[in-house]
Amino acid sequence: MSMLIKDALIYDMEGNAPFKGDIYMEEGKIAQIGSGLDICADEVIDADGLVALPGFVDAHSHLGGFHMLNYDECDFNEMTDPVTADVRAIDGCNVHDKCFMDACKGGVTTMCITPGSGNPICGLAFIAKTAGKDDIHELVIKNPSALKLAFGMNPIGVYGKKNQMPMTRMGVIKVMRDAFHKAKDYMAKKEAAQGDITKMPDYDAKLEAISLALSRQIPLKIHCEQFDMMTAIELAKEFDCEYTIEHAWGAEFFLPELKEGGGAINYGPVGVPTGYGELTHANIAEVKMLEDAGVHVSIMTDSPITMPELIYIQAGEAVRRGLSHESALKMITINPAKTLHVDDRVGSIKVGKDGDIVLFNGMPALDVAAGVKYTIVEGNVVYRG
Amino acid sequence: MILVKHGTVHFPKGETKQVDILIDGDKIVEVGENLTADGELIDASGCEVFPGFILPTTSVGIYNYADLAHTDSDEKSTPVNPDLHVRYSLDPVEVKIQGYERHGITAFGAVPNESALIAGQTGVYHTSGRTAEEMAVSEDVALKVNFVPSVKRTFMARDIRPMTRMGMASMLRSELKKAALKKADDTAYEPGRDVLCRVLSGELALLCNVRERFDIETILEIQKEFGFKLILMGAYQADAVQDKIQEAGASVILGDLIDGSFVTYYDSDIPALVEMSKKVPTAFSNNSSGYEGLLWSAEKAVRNGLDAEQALDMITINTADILGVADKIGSIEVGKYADISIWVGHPLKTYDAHIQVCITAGKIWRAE
Repeated sequence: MSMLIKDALIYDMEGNAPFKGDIYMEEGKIAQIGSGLDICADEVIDADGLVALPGFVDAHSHLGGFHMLNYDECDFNEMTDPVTADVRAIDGCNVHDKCFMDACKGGVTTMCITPGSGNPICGLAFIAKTAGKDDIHELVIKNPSALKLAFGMNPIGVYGKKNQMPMTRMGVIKVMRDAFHKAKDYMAKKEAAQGDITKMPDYDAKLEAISLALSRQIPLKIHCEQFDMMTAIELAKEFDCEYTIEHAWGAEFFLPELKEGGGAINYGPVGVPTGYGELTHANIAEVKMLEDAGVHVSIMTDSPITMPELIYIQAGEAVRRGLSHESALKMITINPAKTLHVDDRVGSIKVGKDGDIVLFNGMPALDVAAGVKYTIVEGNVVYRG
Repeated sequence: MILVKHGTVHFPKGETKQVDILIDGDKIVEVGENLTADGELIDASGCEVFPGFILPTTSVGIYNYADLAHTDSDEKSTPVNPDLHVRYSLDPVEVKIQGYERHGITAFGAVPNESALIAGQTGVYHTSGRTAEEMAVSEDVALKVNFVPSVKRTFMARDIRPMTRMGMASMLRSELKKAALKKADDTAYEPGRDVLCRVLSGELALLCNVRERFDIETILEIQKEFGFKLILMGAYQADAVQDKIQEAGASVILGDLIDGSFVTYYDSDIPALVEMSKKVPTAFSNNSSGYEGLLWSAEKAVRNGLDAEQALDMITINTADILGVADKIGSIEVGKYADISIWVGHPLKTYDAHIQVCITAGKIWRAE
């Protein structure tokens, strides 16, 4: 199977100035980029007048695990225990849910799909393509890809009602710390056993999952807002974990610490009402402040809490609030690809990378009227606008 | 006095003129060329000047975000509450902290939430002011009815009526009928019934929250029986029954187009809804979300074929008209409130458009 996109205005997100040209894809990969490519392909798309971008990468989504009209069908919050590190988002993710088509309509071709934030230690996230195969397991790029943690009102709201720890922020960090220490002991015992089954500690699925983060095989993916960001950084430092900060509302007040901490930020979603506490500072202008402070930042949607297409609408909103258009595009393509460590496959239009392309009839995040005409995953059209 | 000079001023139906606007207190007193006056001068050279945008339905402002466990927007103790009015839940501070000025939104419709069948009366308010009274554009706007599943779910859990659509429709009919049968000399204190009488006389609209086509068909049937002024809100499948909506003289405030729950699961046909807006009075809203949602919904319609100037009319004059307040807000016209936003660039054409000034009932806000 091969595909040739002809005469598109290509924004490759590799640092090159936009250029008019062709993209040839073979076996799902980008095989050639150039102008006037004279290649016979199974499918040819005349993209004259269209803008080509790498398929968008959404670093934080719950697609397939939340059914927005039927809350009984929510499969992403196992709120029976504050620590459910072992549960895997992929086992609760229904790829046949209608919202996966929304992702294609929004030009999103790669997502990090994560358990919800009802527990301090929520479970394991994974990274997958949004379309092209019927089975979620065949769409996976990386699984597990991160250990999801959640600070703040969500876990407190869940366990507070049950008079169970954590009822407070003090409790949230204690629950996490205790679990991490247990996992450390568990790892030490395993190591001391040196493969001798009789000396191994009893198998513990939760501690196994936490071990992945403590041994830096996967990062912590930390849901937090406002001053919880400081606690998140403290925890990551204490256990020498790689981490990303998710949501990050109110990041403008902690710029030096966020820079120093070194973790990437997956910002969003905005478009929520302003309230108090965590709801005080959902402000897309913060992505520019983070960028100016030298922090690696991406824009995410939290879909289906918001629609996947919000990824490029929020990028536009960031432009409206002063971000450069170039940075806005990076924050929904190459930046999240790097944050998720999948930039060897996605995030830019480059020979050897996956053939994930989105074609717009205008410039997304700049022209309000620009909409998706084609979404292509691994050389196959998965949506036609 | 405030004088806005040298801007490109947008009027309904895509008309633009290079004119100045003179504001005295909270009203526009003159629109014309080469105006002069003492007072504050706002130089709008190179800028686009729009009427303030209107968010037609939201519970933000009456929600009580300070205490999420005890919201003020959803009185669900009983299913029938026509005599409640949002003005008593309106928190001017909650409105202020939304920062609506950042998108040029100067007025909004405060609407109770969706658990009760008859949820209460709505009002249209400015986005700035100390008290409900000071903010009020009109408090005689509509009675909100919910014809959505949350009603039956709420009362089903308590084992009281209505737990079905049949129950909902029958209760609504019965309340309207009781009001219709009220005798002229009946002076008994029944405030709820009096509100329903005002709906039947056309003084108040009936703002009916609906989701799918089925809901709309039932409400249109009830409207046919009683003949009230109907505004549908939500209405994610309105395009499928647009002829009937038009025949009923009803209008539509579309629910949030960027909220995945309803648009996705009700298979909203956005291009068809855009087409519908050319013959049925239609507005955009944003459910209960932040200040960005109104423009985002309008932008989505633009992406699906709506002309930017028509989209502009829809978030200004058409919305004012649907809410019955077009004599007070919705366009830049002498005698109307001084609700104006001034941008470099056109926000419904490019994201590279930046607001400079927002004037709400004569009060000036400037972008930082």
